[in-house]
Amino acid sequence: MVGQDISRGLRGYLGAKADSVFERITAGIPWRDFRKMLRGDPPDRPNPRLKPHSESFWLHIKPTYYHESVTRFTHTFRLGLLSTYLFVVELITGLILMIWYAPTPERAYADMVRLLSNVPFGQLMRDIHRLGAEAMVIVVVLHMFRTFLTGSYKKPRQFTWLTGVVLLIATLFLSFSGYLLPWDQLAFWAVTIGTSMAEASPTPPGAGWIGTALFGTSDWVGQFINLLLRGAPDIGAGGLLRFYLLHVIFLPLVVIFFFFFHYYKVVHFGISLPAREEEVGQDTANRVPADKRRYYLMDVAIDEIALLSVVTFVLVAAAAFFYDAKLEHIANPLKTPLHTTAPWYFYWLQGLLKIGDKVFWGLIVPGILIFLTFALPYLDYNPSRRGKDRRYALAAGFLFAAWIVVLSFMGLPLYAVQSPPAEEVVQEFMPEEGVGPIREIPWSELEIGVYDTRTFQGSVPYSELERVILEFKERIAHDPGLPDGSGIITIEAAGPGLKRIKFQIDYTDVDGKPAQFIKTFYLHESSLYWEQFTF
Amino acid sequence: MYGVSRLVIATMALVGTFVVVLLTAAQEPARMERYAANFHGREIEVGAQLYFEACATCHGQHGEGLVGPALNSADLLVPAPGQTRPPRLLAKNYAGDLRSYLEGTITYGRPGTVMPAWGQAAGGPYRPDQVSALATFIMNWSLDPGKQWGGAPERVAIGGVEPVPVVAAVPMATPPPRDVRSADLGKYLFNGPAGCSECHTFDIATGKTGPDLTNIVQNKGRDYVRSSIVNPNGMVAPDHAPGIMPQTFAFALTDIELESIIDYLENPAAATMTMAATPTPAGPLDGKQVAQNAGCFACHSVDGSPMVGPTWQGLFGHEVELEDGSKVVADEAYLHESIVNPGAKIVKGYQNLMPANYEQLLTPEQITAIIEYIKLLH
Repeated sequence: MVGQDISRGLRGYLGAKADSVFERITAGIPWRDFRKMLRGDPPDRPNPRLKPHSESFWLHIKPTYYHESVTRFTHTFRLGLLSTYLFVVELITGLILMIWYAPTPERAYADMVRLLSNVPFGQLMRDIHRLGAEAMVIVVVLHMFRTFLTGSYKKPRQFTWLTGVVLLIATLFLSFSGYLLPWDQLAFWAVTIGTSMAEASPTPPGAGWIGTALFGTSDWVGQFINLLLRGAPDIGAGGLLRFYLLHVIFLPLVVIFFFFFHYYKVVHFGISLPAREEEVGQDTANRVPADKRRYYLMDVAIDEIALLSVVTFVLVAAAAFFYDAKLEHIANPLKTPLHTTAPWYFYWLQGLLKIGDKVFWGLIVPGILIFLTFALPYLDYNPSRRGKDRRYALAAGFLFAAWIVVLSFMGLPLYAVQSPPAEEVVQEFMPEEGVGPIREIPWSELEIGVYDTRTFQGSVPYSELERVILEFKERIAHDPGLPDGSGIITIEAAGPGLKRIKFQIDYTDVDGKPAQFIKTFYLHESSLYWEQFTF
Repeated sequence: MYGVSRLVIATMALVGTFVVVLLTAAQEPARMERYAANFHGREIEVGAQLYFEACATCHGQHGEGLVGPALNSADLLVPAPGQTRPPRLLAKNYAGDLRSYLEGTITYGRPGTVMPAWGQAAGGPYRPDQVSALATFIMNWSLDPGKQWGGAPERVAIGGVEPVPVVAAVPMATPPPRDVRSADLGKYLFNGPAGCSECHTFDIATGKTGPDLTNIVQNKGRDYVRSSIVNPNGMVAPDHAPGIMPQTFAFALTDIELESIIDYLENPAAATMTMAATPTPAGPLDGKQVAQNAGCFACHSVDGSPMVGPTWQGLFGHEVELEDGSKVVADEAYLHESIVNPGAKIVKGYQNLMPANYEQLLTPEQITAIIEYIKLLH
């Protein structure tokens, strides 16, 4: 061998060496064909571009070609690929965040503050992680809905659907379990609400004796689940550690495990063709005529690379410029925030809970819904995937989606139990968490004084403070819950760089007696709320 | 030719991502600084909320000091000339920095004074981050120590500002006999040594930290009041936080004193004694008084009776059996070590519960005075 190479001269020898190294990197595609591949020319015969699918690890799980109909973007919107990609993004950013995080109540919040104030790209990583998680929930749900619309869950893909539902639920819980980790008020109370839903779990009839024997109470299932999740009757060090382990180990393992199930089935059965392209009851996804083939290398791969590049750009740019994962005050078990909510993807559950009985609407109904979602491919015996044959199924699907949207709408914080009107007004102008109109005014423009809405006029041109006080005046005057309402805002110095802002609202209560609501805030010069939110 | 436009899009998107990352990188130092400032500001705001809720009653609306020492003062906040620590820390021979001094005092309180332990580590209501926020708020005064900031109208009357009366320290009375049950003794203890009036009043309008006690005995009965004094966290009045009231009254008060206070609460008019100021005695340190102020008697008896800690009666010069079975003679060195480093030698049958910060809380002279007092009890 060496002799032959030498006989071609040193140049020939080095050329052959370079080729062999190149082919090892490309898993069997020679340089000549690689160039042709990039330029979009047809492959040589025999096709060297099939080799990487058997040689390389990353490509062996990808099919060598697809039917051209299923590679059209609008057929699948590549939502499956997108959810997988977002999962990878979450893994990477999550690993980076783990470097600066310890899951104990003493450290978690301080670690978040350190990450945000002292780690380069710390906020970007956190924003991407959070935004990616929310995007992943949306993408996974849309992926499921697309599969429903094209009827792709039907025979022989029933089990693929089932593993997909597991992945959907795992995604929801993955997102939810991450909620608690920053250990701020938002996290603490959202998870308190979430786990107290589990507390409503009924004890099956006849199983009460187990609880009587073991826990001293016959109504034990809900308490037991709660204890299992929280590690104690209330969320504390135990609960945080459990949610952390769920978030970083258990649920990712579930997702990875079921992902391989799911994806193996997808490749095994092929992506279902558009329904009109095959006979009812037939499945020809794996019998692709030669002229309909689109090869993964390099055609479909470029599609995917282009899509993922754009998604990466959108995700990073959105996280950097538009999205800000808030960090509220540190978790305080003694102080319930005025408006507590579950994460938005559980609003529908909150909406259900508002209908009535906690056990029936919060547990039995969602349980039936989840069971139906799992069992859909086995219940829907209609073999046709064509829209006109599936009128009832599609109508039911859209109705279901609309119902979920309506329920989510009912679950909005807007429809939550409202606090007394005076408290709501103050919350609007100076919320417990976040910014609000008063904090948006630069500190130096909060002039010391007593501003009484009954006498306050302000002078044109209004300063920002005057504008907000006039808004406050209007707001109180038009609140039906505050008859004869008037407000006083007192601003005074309370220390170096510190101002005390006191709200007082006087009104006539339902009994016709004078009532008063007072709330005091402090605002420090360097808190810079106005700067952060006027960039 | 396929894929050229897709490749162009992909390349542009990757370059775009790179540009975004570069832009972010350029802003990172300023962003981090802003976030740190924001968090510092938020911490002071939280500290202010806590201070004016809980601390201002004793330390003053301006930190000027009422019952408790002044906090908004240069001798606490500004390093002494040529020193890294302020004069008050130097006077106490405190080796740590100002923050640890403040946090330690807030967390563990000052045993023997009315300053309770506020930290959860010592059974109080506040988490470490709240203690830290309080310290940050207090240290914020160092920018202009001593200055009185603004007024502090607690309630704004409709149409105008109503000045708030400054809470004045109640003068001490000439002590009535401590071993005779009387409403007078109750009044004396309530307003004086027991410190009840720091937090409780008979007038809801003044809004002190503790619940209003008007007709408390008539409404709730003597048993309720008694149990609330000896076990303050057993039943907590609505709108009040557990853990603020000191839990040492069970040790600090005798039965006679306890009943006297309840008598006084039942009928304040029965106490005919007038309150008069007594000058604080000056002179050589009285070891018993020092020990009383330092709260030693909450856990150590001087009559041989068993309490949380070993009794001081017959301690000096005698052999003590330690946890590991070894025996030592309680000499001066042993007593000193046991005060400043209580965990070093644990007496058999007792637990390591004693606060380890007496070296910081007491001056060397005070520690010596306590040892001299224990020596008298042999």
